[in-house]
Amino acid sequence: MVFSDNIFLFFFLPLVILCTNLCPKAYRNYVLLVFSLIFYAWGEPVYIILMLSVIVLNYLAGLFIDSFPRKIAPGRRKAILVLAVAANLLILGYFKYSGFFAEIISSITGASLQIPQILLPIGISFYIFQSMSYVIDVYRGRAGVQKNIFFFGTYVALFPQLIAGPIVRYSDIERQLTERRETLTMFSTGIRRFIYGLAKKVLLANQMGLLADTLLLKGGGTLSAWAGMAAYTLQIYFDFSGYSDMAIGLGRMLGFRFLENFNYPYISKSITEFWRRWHISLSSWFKEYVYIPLGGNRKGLPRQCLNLLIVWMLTGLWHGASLNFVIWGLYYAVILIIEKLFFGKVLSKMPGIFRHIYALLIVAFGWGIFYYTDFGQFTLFVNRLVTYSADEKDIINWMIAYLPTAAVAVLASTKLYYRFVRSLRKSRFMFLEVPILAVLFVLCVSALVSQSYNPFIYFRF
Amino acid sequence: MNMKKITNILICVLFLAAVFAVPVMFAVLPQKDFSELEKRYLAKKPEADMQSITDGSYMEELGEYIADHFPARNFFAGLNSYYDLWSGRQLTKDYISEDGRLYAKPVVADAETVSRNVKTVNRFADSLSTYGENGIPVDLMLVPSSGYVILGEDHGRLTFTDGEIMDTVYAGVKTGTVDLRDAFNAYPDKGELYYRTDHHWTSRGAYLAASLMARKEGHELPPEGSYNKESIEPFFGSEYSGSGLWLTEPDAIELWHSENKINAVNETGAKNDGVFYRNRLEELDKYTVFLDGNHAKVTLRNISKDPSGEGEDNLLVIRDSFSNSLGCFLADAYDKVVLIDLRYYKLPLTQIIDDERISEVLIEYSCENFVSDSNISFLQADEKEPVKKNYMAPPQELTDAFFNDAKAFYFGDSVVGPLYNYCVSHSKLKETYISSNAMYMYYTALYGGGKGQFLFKGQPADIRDVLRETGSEIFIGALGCNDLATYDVYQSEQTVTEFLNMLRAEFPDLTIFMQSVMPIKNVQADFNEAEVDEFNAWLKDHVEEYGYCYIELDKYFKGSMGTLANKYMYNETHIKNEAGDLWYKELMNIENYFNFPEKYYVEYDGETDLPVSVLEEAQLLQEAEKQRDRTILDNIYDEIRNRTGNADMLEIKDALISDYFGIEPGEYKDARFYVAGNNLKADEIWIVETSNEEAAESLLGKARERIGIKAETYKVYLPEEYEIAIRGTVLRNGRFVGLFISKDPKQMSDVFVSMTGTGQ
Repeated sequence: MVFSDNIFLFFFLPLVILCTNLCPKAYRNYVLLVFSLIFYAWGEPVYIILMLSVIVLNYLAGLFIDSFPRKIAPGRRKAILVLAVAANLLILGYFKYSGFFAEIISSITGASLQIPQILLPIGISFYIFQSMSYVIDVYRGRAGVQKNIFFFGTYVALFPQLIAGPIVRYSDIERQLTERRETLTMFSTGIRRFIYGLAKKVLLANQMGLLADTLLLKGGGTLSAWAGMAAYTLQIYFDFSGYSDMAIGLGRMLGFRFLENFNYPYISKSITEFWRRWHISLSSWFKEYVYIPLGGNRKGLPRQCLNLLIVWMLTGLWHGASLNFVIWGLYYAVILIIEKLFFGKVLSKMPGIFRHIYALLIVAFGWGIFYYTDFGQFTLFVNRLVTYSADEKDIINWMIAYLPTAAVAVLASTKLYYRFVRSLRKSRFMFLEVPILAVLFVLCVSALVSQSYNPFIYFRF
Repeated sequence: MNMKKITNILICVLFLAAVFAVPVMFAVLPQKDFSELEKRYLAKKPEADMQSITDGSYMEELGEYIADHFPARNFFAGLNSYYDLWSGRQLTKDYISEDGRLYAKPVVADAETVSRNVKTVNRFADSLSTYGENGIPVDLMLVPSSGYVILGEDHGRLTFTDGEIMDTVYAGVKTGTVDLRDAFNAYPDKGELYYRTDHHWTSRGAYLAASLMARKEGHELPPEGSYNKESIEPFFGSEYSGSGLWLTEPDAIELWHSENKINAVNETGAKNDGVFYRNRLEELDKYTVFLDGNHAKVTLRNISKDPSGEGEDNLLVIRDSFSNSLGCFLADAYDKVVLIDLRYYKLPLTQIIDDERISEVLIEYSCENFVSDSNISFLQADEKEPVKKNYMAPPQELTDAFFNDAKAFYFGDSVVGPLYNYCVSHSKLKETYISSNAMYMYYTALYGGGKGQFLFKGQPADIRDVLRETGSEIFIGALGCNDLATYDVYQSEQTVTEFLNMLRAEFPDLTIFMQSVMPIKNVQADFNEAEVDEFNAWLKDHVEEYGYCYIELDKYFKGSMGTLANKYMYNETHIKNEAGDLWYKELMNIENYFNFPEKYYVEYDGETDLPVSVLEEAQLLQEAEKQRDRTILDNIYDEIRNRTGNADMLEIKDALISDYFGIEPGEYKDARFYVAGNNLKADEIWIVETSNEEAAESLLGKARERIGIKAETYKVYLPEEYEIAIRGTVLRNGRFVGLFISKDPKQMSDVFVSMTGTGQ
């Protein structure tokens, strides 16, 4: 199930709200677990078994690590940790990457391997990473062990963040699992956040997606290549951050406070800054569990550069089992290293507008790499970017038609609306946010409902 | 309470009211089966079972069901249309809204279809030019779109290409032409020529066009003043329901009553006094008031002008729906007007020209339809010229190739599909020609002039001719329940008796087998399994009394309830594909009855554990045969199957490709063709690699045509599959061409595009 769907909005969500509020506090986690499992099983009935196995595996690993005192049996603790992490990575590797690796191996060695065809379980990258953070945090003593398997299951499967993040670390919501309070303010903040997220996804991301696919897939001239890249840049931000907003909003409605995942990334003035603002939960996960354990910046510059390369290659790979994601990750590694070495200092002396343009160009081109899983299509795209050719009228019409929407999207990716709402909420006119939310929600619902409105085309005869 | 708290409460209350109101309204409000605006049946509530829940199809169907019955769905759809309009995106949508009028977006002409249709028209005109003593004149009239006429050729960012299309087509055809442009452009208020909410012309537009046509051939329409005009409101046309722009003012529809008395008869034999069908005025889209909307054949007789019915001025109109209103006026100028819609009428027109004593022919199409409709290829005059192949699923041509020396003829309808598929994939019953596409077969065989809906080698055929042509020594009749359900048990008994008498008289040496009607389950209230049993009992007695052989097969497929057993059930009236082997085995086992001469026996491997999945076995066979190397095309197909779970497909290979699709080996470099392994599905996949883009483009044309053929095939046969067929996708990526007919062609074409890369 996804949030931007009739079934979720009008059947699943009211039922969750009703059940969690009717049931005594002590049992709410159980109710949430059941609903989360239904939520997951909706699109992937079979993989529910996989998720339950991941829950049991990490729950047991946590228990075992905790059962050996830190001082007396550090070796055993470590052994279990290594086993648990390896098991998690194996699961992830098998379900997400086996086809990819088999293809790489067969293309390098020339051996004709049977390419395994496995349907990717939804959200696996997210819940595996969450589970690993739990085991590692328990090992490090940063989080207490969770003895109730249902509570642990609630943490892993919690439906708001289950399939597209943010990656919530166990230590961040350890206390909330047992001590959260659902209040009116929390609930209404949650609703606001959810509707803004929904609007980002349905009214902006989906529209920009239509435009981007038209401009990037059909072929065309230079202008459409640039516009398509821009449209995709907007689409991916609103899609992903919209989803995070909805997750955070739903969390609020249920009494959870998740950490922010996006912080206006497109206002960044350098790539280093961009990655502090984009998908924060993922970059901090990699920083915490890969970069720092590798030695971070404490072992000299060459080693730091190597660490960056490793982390960014993995970050790229995390996004998808395809070579272009790896290249996309390494692309960022190289730029971050350059910024670290000298360019960052050069940049800081430049005017703000230049830094801003620099960062956006790098990011947008990065999304170009991200978009094309096929290298041939990507080179065609780059060719369109740099050598001029005109566009057909039809394609230009698309750009004209979507210009107003794109303009709104550009404004929405800045802090403009945030500042407006903040001052509105402080003023006497704070109630004016209600009609804004209502209009956005109704527009979203009409967009979702109208997807099924399909007049029978033959009657035009 | 402070403002903050009030705001918070307001937000919570409104949001909760919204999300709770929808499910409550959904449960309480009455639900419609049919959406009049969309002209389609809405999704039905799915039934849950273990299988559909574990594979997720239940949830998917539930989603469709809820979406189709969402409270105030039309309101939301409209709101979304207006949101698109107001945020400037209308330019890329299918409809343009300007000054309170709705226009279709400009037509995109497909050069290949245009040149093919021009050729067809010329061939037709050629054969008519020598017809009879002086030949028959043929005129072509293309109707421009309302956008072209009212907004003009270049309108802002849009270019209406109708003028260009007319120039090309009129220059290419050998027929006379009725060019409407001058008359339409000279008309003072062009807005009066077309409806505001519909793509058709108004009565005024049609009158203008009809008088031009009549005058060109030396006839005269009554003056405008002689018509008694009646205006009917409100009329919501097709652009209205398509665009969702509900605030557009409704139209009025004008009925111009003529002084002449005119009678209309359509292909069903239903007669109407006059040209207007007033019951259609109850509907939302009232355009069907003219001649009752779409019909294969409509005959208009001008009684006032030609009371005896022996008049000489008889016009044949080959037409699209613009002629619904055009025809009403033409009838005033001729003794008789016969209107033929090639989407439904596919036989050569010679017979009509002879029977109706046609003296003139008009071909009328809108520009949009002329450049896109592949049915124009059915425009044929000479009966000896082969009719365009019109395949009925399952792949009939496979039979042709496999069963060349048919000595037995297995005459059946879609129920026979599983047996047929089993035999094809296992090379069994090699000398039997299995037909699985006859509908109402006995009835049409007898009373349809032998040309019912039964196809042989892709053409409508008479069973008598086929038996002669194939030299069959054995006839096996496998009646499905269509006859029974349509004509009741008693009538069917009469029909079958007469049919068998006819066979006996004309083919004295033929050995006749009659197979029991297959069991069914929960079909309709007035037709059920009891009637099938009643008929089978009669059939057995009758067949044995006359010394034919009765094949009692129904008992093998019955469950404990006496109806079609669940394990063999595909749907209420059809058996699963997998049961084909059981069927075959039982045929071979019924030795007492099934006395094929020994040479017709095909060895059966004695397998006792049944049913074995036919497809599984077929796949093994295919893999064993497979000598070609795996190529990217196999990877694409595997990926498609993986993503969509579309497993039930048969591959069409080698020589069959030419037979089946009309594609010769030289036209592609490497290709994979798959059709549904079941004749109840329209599914089809082409993944073709050609040697250059030119070749790919030409193949693309064939693929487009194929979609049209496929859709037509299913139109009368299985309407749900028809919907799937018309949504089929064809696309070209560089040298690669794909055709995807499936529930989810989008996903397939996505895979195709992403895996064929730059197409080089």
